[in-house]
Amino acid sequence: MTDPDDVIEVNTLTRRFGSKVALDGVSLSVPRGAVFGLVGANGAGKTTLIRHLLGLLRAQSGTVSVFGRDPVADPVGVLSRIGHLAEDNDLPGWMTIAELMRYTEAFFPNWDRDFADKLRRDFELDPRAKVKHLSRGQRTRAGLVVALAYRPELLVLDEPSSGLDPIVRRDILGAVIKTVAQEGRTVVFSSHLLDEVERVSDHVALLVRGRVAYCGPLDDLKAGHHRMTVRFNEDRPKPPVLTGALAWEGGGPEWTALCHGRLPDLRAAAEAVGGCVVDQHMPSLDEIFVARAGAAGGSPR
Amino acid sequence: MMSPPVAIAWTIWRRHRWGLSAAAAVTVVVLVVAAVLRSNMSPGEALAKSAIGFMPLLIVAFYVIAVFSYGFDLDVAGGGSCFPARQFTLPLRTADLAGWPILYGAVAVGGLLLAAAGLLFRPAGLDIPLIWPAVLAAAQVAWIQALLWWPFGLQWTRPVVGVVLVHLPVTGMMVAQKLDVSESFFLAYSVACLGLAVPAAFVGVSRARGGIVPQWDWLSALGRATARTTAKPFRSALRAQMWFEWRRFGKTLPLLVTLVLPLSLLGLFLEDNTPPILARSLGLALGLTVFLAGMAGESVVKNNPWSRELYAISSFAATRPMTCAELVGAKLRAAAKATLVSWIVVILLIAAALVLSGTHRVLGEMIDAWLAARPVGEVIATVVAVGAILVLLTWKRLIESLLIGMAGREWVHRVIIFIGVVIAINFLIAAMWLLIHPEYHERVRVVGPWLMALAVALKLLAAALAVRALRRRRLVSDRTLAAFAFAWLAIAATLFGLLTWVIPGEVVATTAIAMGIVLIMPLARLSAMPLALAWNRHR
Repeated sequence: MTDPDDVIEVNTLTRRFGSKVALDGVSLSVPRGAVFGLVGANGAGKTTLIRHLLGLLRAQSGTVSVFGRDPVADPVGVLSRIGHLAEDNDLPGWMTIAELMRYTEAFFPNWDRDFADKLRRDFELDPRAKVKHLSRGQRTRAGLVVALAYRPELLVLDEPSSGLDPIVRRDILGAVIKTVAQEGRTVVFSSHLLDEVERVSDHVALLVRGRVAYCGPLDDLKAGHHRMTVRFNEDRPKPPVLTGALAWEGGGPEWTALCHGRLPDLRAAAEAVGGCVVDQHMPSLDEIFVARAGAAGGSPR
Repeated sequence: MMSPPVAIAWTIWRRHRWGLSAAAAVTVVVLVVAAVLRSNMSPGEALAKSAIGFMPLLIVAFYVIAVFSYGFDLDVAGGGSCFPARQFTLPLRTADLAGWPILYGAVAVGGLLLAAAGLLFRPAGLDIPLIWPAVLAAAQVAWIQALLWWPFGLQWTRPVVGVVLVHLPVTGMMVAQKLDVSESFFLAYSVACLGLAVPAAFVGVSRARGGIVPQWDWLSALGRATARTTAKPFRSALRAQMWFEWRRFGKTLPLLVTLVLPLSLLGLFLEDNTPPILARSLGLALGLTVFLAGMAGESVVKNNPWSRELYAISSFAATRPMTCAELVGAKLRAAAKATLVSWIVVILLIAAALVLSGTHRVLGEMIDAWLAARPVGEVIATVVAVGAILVLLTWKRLIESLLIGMAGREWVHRVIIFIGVVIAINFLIAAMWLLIHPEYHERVRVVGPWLMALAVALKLLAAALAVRALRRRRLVSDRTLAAFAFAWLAIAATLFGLLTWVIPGEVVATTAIAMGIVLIMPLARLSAMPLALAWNRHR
């Protein structure tokens, strides 16, 4: 059943390229106003999923719905409401920044010329510079200007951080995403920089080898995972089998586990195998992802 | 480990093995067919027909030059070197990188010329020299390689330099022939051309490898100073997309016409222009534009010229909020604009050449004679009909490969080329066979209209199927389809009216005119374009 508050609804989407399964029964939904981070290792299927959302790939099985429409059947109805920054950022090299802005403006009645100029100035882009003469980071900024200037209802950013230096990444990208979200619009962005996703997103989907390992609010994800250090009375050559443990590290009498579940249950489980929890804290998204990807048999990053 | 010459030969062969195999097959077929047919002909007839056999060999030569010049990756109008940059990091001397393709190209094209002279023309009775044409052909290949591999640093410099310099070996030889110089001079001249071209190609690759590219800072500064940053907004998305397409490929044909047409009009200044000679020169000049449109069509086909995947649509273009039909429409309109601009250039250049050469008086006499012989209305109708057909053919040639480009798959491109080569070879063999069997000509005249009717039926069927698929997939609205059908019928009816007026029924039957118009006017491919683009855009 489709939730009217969901901007994106993907159901059991599968995509194969030859014998390689890029997406394997992916189901997820993105609520309106969310900052939704798509997290996964290289080749996990993030870009493939985004290309389905844009209608650039046709669902081989399953369904994709954006604003309640099929992006392949109704490209105009969907694309006119989306701002998109592609991973390969293939803006036409022969255009100047001014031409790029003028050209893009024609497609979007909501184009805000003052806002576009402000963004261009903030991103320090010369309107007379040709796209092909820009650095990778400048090209990403140019892509961001034309993706943002018409205040799209949905902003889809595929690896927006690639090519951006750390300062721009932290200050500009973070501010852009926050602004869009504060205006009640929705952001979907993919990244393998997990600290960045953790800093700006409120919902995440973890993709591991084409499957969704988790999809939901970031706070729920973090609240449901715990990093526990368990001490035993004697040395143990290998970690114990503990319900909810996704990954272990350590040695001797002291082992640290990243676990999924309720904390009292996890403590009880540790005591049941002869251990005692001596330290516990909330793990970072990076730790959760590495543990989940490892548990699913994928390469973490 | 492979040695440098083997490794370079392998990389070229690996990429072009199918094309080179086809080229070799065409060469062998032409030479064998010519040898077989020659046995049934008188010497004079054999000589005349051998010229027909030389045409496919000439096409093979152009293909081979493109292969060994790395001409399939190039951006001719770009300022950089067309030599593949990935090869610059190979642990090879520049002499190896440049030298082996030069040698292979020279041997292939020189060998082809040698084969044509020794196995096609000489057995037919034309005693042409063997050595110097082959050396001159090798020099011409090296000239082209030098041109393509030099980094000029400024867009469009290469075509201009090409028009000014690249024809020099052949043009020089033609001048020398007029002066009736000795055979030894031709050989010395050909060797000298080769001797100049090879170092030029070496230096070009060396400069490109070392990043030594001329800086045109003053021009860049001028461009930046005059660049408009506050142009008026586009009135609609369609106009913006038309501008995009025009900027992407629109200037290619007008520029080609501007560069090449003046050369073809040189005859107006050099020859003794009697009415037949002037009519031939003007006819060639007008036909040249249609021919050049086919070449310029390559730039229309490439969806993504700034990417390695030439035919795939870029995600930037694919995410424009427009329907596939609107995207196709923008391309077609930009092609129409390019056609009209090119014909304006053609008319201006021809008018200028006529006035400057003084041949406008001869043309005036020809028109007066025509008006005296035929009614004014008929003369005007003929001019309008010929003009309309030329413009239509130019536009058609410009967009006829677009369907392949829209599909966005390299393999589709290759399969179509393969099928085209197979059909062309078979057609060539059939045409050559018919030439020496006049007893079948009457039968062909009887069967011809039926073959035309079959072609028309197939074309209409293909168009109907495409329209059905368009409607089923809702890629085009019924209103747009109706407008397209109305415009197509209006143009076809106008052409039919004009042609039946000016061409007597006893010369060409009315049904043949009607079928010819249906075959000339783009329909099936045009209808299928939104389908192909949708296939490419939503993979």
